[in-house]
Amino acid sequence: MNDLSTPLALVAAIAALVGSFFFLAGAIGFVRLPDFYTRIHAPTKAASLGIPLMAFASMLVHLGAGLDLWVEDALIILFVFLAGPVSTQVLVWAAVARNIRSSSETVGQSVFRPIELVDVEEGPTDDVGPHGTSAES
Amino acid sequence: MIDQFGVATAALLVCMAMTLIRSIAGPTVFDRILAVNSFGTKTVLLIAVYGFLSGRPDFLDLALVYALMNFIGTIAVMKFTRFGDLAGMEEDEEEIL
Repeated sequence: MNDLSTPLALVAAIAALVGSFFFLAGAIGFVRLPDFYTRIHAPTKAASLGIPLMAFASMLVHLGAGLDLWVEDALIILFVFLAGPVSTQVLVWAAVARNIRSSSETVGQSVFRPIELVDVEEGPTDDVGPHGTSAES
Repeated sequence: MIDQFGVATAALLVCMAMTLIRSIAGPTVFDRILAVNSFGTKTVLLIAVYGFLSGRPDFLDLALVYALMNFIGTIAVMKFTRFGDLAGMEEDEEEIL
């Protein structure tokens, strides 16, 4: 894989390196951020950008090698695009339902309003997770 | 074998080490579940990248299975954590929320 002569291999190399950069940024954020709600965004967002890039690099390599394995790469991208946001969302719902405390640095800036302040007429409540469903019931 | 995919593999291994640190140190159970989830995500890519680094691209099938397993595992653990049950979520939902 060391020759970067063809443009296909060059694009694959750039995609793999940029993808691993995103992964590194996400992991650093995951270790250093103060509370759960800030921590969850770093690796998940980085992964939903890093995985397609690296799988795209793998797809290009397999295309360049004349293999038929690009279908697997496409399926990996598809499943990660479907699964990553869903599992992140479910994780945050569960954390909110269990009242995980946020750090004092982010109190007052939270996107999650307290459960007694949720108003049905206030706007779309579908995107605020468990509070939205509780406001409707 | 220092090429771009070797660098990507090394970066993935560093990421997995950091994720492992968080999964050990994480104060809440959700940090640990998130760490396990993103560790699994990185494992998918590590399998894929190592597969064509070592000239065995058939590893991609394993990576695909691992991606599915990771997703279903996270959803199952989350459902259990939130509702205390893997079935019958409707009546529990009213009670918790």
